[in-house]
Amino acid sequence: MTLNTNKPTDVVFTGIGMITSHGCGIEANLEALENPPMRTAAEDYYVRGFDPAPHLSDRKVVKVVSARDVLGLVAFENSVRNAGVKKEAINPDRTGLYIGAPPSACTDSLNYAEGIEASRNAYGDLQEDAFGLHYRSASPTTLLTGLPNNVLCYGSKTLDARGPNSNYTCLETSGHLSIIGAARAMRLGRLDCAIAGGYSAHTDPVHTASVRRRGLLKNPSTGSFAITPYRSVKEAEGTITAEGAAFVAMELREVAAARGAIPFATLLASGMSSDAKGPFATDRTTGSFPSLLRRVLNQGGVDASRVGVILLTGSGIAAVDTIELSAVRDLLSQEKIQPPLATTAPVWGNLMEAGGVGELGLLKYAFKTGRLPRSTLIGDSDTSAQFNRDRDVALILRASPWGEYTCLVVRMEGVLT
Amino acid sequence: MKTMPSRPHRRRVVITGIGAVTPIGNTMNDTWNGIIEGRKAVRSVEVFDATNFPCDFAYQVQDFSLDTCGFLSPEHRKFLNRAGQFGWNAAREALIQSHLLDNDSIDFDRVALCLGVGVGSPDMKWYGNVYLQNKFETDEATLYHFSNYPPTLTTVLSSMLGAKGGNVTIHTACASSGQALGEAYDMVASGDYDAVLTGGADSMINPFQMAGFCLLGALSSRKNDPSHASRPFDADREGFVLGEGACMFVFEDYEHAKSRGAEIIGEVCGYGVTESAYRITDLHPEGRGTIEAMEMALKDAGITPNNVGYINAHGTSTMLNDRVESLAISKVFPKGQCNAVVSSTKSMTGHLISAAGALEFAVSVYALQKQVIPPSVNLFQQDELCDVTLAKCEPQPFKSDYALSNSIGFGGSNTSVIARRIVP
Repeated sequence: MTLNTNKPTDVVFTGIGMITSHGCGIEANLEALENPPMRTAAEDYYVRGFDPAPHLSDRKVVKVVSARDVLGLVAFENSVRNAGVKKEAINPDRTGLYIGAPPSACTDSLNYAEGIEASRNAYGDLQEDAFGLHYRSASPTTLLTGLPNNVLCYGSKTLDARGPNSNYTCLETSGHLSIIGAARAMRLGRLDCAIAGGYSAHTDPVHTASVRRRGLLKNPSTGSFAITPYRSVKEAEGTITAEGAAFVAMELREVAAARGAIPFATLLASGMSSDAKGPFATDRTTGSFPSLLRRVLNQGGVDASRVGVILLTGSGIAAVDTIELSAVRDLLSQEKIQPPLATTAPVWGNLMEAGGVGELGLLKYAFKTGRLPRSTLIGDSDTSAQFNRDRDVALILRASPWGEYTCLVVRMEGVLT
Repeated sequence: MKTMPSRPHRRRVVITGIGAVTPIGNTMNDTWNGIIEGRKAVRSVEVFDATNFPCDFAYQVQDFSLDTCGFLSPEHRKFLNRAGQFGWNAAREALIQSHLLDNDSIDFDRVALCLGVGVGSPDMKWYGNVYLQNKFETDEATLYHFSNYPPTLTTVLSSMLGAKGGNVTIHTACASSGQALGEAYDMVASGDYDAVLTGGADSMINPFQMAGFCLLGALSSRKNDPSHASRPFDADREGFVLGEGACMFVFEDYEHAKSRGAEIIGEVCGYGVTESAYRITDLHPEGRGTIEAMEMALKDAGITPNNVGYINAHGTSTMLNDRVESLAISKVFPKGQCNAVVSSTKSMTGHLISAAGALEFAVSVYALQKQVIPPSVNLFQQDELCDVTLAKCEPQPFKSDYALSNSIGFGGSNTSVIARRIVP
């Protein structure tokens, strides 16, 4: 369903932060879209060898949270700095974090490995009663390390943000849900400012194996290793999960104006839908995604002819890509001039909870330069990298193999040269 | 109370269905009856062998059988872990009561889900024999993995309901389902949805998570007297006791419910949510965050503290929570000026973690409906630093139209949700 907004210009975006395997900051990730580096293995999409300390206000936090939480905190702080939001200047009771967080990982329980091994009997069988004697070898904070709301906690502490907040664990749609949730809270008068986005690290070996067994992961091959979205069902190769995080600063327009911030986009409408078929089940016949797109445009008061760019998920998973592309084509079926369709997936990989958020940075860049990086253009869209910036509305879509969909409708501003 | 901008117009949000699976009853009515009887369902842990843990007891769901009537496909059944099964039954009870599925005129594009779900239940044998042995490339391991995914229950329930409005799953530790209720309330109040299935489900009664809480020193170790271990606000309390279960609601736009002739059980009229922005486990010593959540909910409801007759406290039975929450309550509802009576029903149900907020809000709704305050069980000597008016040891009649339910989570999330009595 869609956000019911009577004041479509209320919520604006004023900053963005991001970290992926391409580097920290939106600039590094835009550069990767312009000049995609060669990737040959799944590990190339992991964030490795990164020193978070210079990016964190409280460097000690890395000792008490997981590596994926660190990514979230880095991107969170990156977005706050990018927006010029100052801890001293915010109203703490009306500032909050909205976060898309990954589920706990099996590796979170590695602290118990020693206790588990000590709990085996002479035959190697695990004895649960014995574990009650041996679990103390684990760190006292083991339970806390795996909490999915660590970034919410430590991020709020860093910014002294004490207002409404939330923490979504909905996989691919989480990043968008954080923006939708924050926008709703702002429009209901609960919040002035929110930092919203998500972080992802689905690289736990159990998760990787489980997703692969569902047939969703692209298999390693020789040469370039990248998502190739929108292939036919027979040719589709699957997705590549990437590590990373992306956050945006969202403010009420008057609050941003009061501190002299220049918004780069306005959230006109947003919404979510579901095929309601259960886990790992998509169903094109439900029509829930096309219905969502029509509804959000209607809610935002936007005609499809005003849409200049559509950024899609492009997961590389046939069932998902098919539904996503057909929903867009359905939306644009009456349009004589087709806007370019683009996706960051071939370069950034599938950022899961962080997906669909860094795209706001890409839109800012694209509307400033009047072109999209060629690496993002979807192969069968009959467009060039140039596009008409007079059509100042863009859509950002997310589609998941769980049959869940989200869409943001944004109007670009302040970046047209 | 701090001033806040006046709120935009919102739709009235009512409750048209409640379902629960708890340690003291496998329906909401049974649970309420158990609470009024002061029933304590604590016993030795049966889910695994906890003999050598400092806390070897818990509040566990009893005599449970998954209700598969009509809706649950074998494929989806495989995806439901223990908490998921509780969630399924509770949702089914709530939906049956609401008659939402009996009505052909429902636009299911305007029906969504918003649940607070736990972090899953890691199984020690699976972990030791599969994960540590690198044997996870099997269908069983895959299924196990995804059955413990937070959004799995939400997605399965959306298929039961056929709700195409979208699925939201929230995790903010012990505040998860309180927060889910609040967001569901906002989803309907804003006009975005006509109805939302909301609530929570959790079970952390397993070796790893019990070990995790033991390592933090959060659980009661009263092994020689478990029935008196969960004793919120009592001077002799020394930790909480794990519970498990689920509680689900149908929140619905008042006009929508009225137009289809649904029975209205109660109204949700206020929501407050804050972050303490302090520490991961500790509450702010002055109640920062908890105070503001209650104030925000009161403002949201458009009522004063004097209007509230009953507060279902988070009341975990830990030394810190109960003192700080009492301090916060006493600041918002000063004794002598306000008549609100406080109780924590965790003495009877244990701590349902991610499902706690939902169950305790349901208890608050029932308390209003029946005009009875649940008893303070296991309260022998009130901690003098918990200076609030606590409920008596027996159920007591009261007259009020409003009740407030608090949830406070690791990570600093605080929620307060206010229910209003609907007089038939």
